[in-house]
Amino acid sequence: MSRDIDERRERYAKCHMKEWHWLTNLPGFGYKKLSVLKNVFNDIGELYELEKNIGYDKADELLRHLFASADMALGEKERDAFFDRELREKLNMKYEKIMISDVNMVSRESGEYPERLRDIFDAPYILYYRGTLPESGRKTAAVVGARACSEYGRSMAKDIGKQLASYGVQVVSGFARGIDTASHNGSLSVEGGRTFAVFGCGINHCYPPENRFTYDEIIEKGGGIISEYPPDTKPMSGFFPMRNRIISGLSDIVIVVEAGNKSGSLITADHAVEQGRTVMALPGRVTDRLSVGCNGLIKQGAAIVSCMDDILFELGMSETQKNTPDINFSQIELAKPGKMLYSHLDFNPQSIDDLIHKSGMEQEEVTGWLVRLELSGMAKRVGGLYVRGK
Amino acid sequence: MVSKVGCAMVTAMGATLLEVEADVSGGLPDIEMTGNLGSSVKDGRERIRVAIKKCGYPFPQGRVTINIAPAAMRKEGTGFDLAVACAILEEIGIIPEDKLKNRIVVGELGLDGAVIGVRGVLPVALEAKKRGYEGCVVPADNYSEALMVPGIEIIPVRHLSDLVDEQRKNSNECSDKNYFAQRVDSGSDLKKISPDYSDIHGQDYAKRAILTAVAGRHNILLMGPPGAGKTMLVSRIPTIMPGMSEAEQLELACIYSIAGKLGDRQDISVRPFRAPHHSITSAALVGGGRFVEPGEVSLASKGVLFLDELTRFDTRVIEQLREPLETGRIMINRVSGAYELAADFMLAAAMNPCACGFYPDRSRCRCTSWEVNRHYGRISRPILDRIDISIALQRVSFDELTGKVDLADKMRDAGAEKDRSHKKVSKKRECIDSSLMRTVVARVWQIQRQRLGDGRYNSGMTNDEIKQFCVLDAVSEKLVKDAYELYGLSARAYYKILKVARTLADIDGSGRVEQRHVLEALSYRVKDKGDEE
Repeated sequence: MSRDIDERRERYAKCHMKEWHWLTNLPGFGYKKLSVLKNVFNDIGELYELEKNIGYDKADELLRHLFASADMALGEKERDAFFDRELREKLNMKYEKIMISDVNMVSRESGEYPERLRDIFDAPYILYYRGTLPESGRKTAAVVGARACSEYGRSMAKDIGKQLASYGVQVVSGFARGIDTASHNGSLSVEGGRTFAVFGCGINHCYPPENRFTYDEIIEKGGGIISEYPPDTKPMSGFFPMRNRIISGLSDIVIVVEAGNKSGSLITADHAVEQGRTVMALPGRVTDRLSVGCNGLIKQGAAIVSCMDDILFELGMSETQKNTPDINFSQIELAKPGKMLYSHLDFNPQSIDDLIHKSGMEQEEVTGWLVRLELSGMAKRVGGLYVRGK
Repeated sequence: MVSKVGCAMVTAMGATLLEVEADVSGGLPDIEMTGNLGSSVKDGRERIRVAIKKCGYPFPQGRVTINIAPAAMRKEGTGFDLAVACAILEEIGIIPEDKLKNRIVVGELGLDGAVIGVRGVLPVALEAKKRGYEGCVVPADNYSEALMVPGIEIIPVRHLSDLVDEQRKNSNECSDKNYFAQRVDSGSDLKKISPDYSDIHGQDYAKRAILTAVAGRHNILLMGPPGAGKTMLVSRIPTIMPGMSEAEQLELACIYSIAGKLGDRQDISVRPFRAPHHSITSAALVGGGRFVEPGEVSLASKGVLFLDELTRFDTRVIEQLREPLETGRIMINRVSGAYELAADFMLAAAMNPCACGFYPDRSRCRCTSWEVNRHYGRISRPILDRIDISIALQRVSFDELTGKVDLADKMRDAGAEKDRSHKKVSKKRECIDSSLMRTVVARVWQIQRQRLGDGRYNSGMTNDEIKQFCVLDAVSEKLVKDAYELYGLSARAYYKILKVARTLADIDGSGRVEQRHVLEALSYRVKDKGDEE
């Protein structure tokens, strides 16, 4: 065990992990300030040992000069934090703690850093993860969408996740409730389905908490939990939009399944466009609140998802775009009334009274067939109402 | 000489007969009351003194000692005033000794000597008859309820002097209205009760579910958005319940009399429908209080307890229903004693599927799935397990609301080729008014009485009885097995489905439980784990 840690420490030392950990955790140093420093100091080690090498006064002056020339003010607090020895000790203790835990780190200097992510302009300097990182050589797709999703969105996200996984595509999503969780679960339902969850909080916090089984399963099946925040960071609403750039950055394409007017998924789509990724959207009914975002994306030129081949085509895995949508039921033989009732079911929850009315069948028949359809998985009961199961 | 007059104390369980003893002897004028009396009994002392004076009788000048025997028992209540006054008047020779012999006297006194009605006169009269007393002196306010007990003389009094002055009593004659006569009258025109299921357009599925629930006395849960008609549907349940036998009525009237609520119920033959507000405390729901009183569960005996907005009730209050839902009795244990009361009600509950009420209609509901689950989580699994039938409602369409659907059906019928199914539709629409439903319920109750015995219903079948009466064929057995595995049913839920299927077969008049009954029973299943992601 201790040899493993030694090996790890050595490996991390090569890519200045300790220094990056210190720098990214300095209070007041955001992405912009770090990029100023990064531009001047090619070797992060040099920056880390700045005070030791040239003395406090000179180092202070250098910093002032650097930020002034970049038209940025360096406040008292930030400067104090930079030179604070106690803080440095504290952060190094934390670093040691991570070192002996099962949390892995990569910095931009490491070879394991995901290639796709490295290309984006605001790629995170450091990533913490459990499990693995997405393989650079494999196709990767992000599936994102609304938290309060409809049953239609949920089942589509699950299906897309499942199909992608069966084609060996890595699925990246944000682990949020609703669409994100459904796409993770869909991907996990396939043997060897690798899926990656990008957290908006530290990866020691399973948020939302009800997904803890999914959390474990993602790691078990060879996927990973990824975050740019230190493992113990608590969930804060401000962090979540930031992680969206990592979701799109890790992927070749971004599929938006269901999104409202001001959905966070649209932020992901914006990032994707900036990063040069293909954005795909699943169309929805014009009248639905949750279709507004997706249909809007399509209007702006996003690729449309009408069948699995559309996605494979965008991933470069299929030669042609087939025009026939996938039909994946019909394996189950149904008697006539069952078929008729099934044709009346859709992804909009309907009450039994509605179905009796629509089908013109007798109540007893309707309830009986609904239960039969449910038992064969072709109908589903949601809050007492019925939707299509497949 | 000591004079003695019979009196009674009323507790939540019924009446206990006691005796008041009065003695007047020389000494400073004073009244002493003994016998382990609560303050409500003791403060009658002043009322009695003034009332006797105001009636023009001389209050004894001397030491008056009152004892209510046996002293071992703690006494509470105001019904002792009249008996104590009578004992004093008897002691000083104003009331002849034999007049109140073998009689029980209850009633509260006003300062002017007026006799005020008290709670629990009916159980007092019942107990008096059981113990072989000849008659009961009761406040005139309680006259009609006391008359429900046959074979015992009931003497109504309006004023303390009625007992002394025969003349005065005759001029003040109580109306001799017989309570039972009144009940029979009003029982026959049950149709006059205004709410009826024919008021509700659409919701045929819900009506069918309610019919099933009432027919087998199954507890029912209705879920749906605001304005779907949950409350309307449930409040009409009493209109489809057959009447009660006289013994049942008497038992129920006793509970109401003890609770002092007999006046609330204008017609004792109609089954009770209690709909407590969701702010109710557990003592008010199951009974309790310092001086134990029956709660809503007992008041809803033989009828319906309706908990509207089930999720808004305090969860701890709802949990108290576990025991009464299972046994039909409620046990209230206090330091003062253990009280076992009837709580033989049918539970009807209504709730919204989520906080905003529109789930799973995602175009309107913005609750997260976590919020939805938390909303359901307010009702524990053991309570849900005791609910046999659950249905989800949707708002009715405008056409159905305005009753235009029948017309639309007819038009479709005229042009349709497949008239077989449409004939069925129009046939189905007949089953909507209360009297029709009541006939079905009465028939099914009769079947259950023959099968299980008096006062028992399918919902109360024991596991042995289920094995005996709910035999499934191989196909149905397979269906239930599949459902058991798919939905992850509990053993209790499995038996529930069989019980409901039995009731559905009874409604059909079928001796065997058939596949369609099992299927329909499965569709009434309470929300299970597998329903939500």
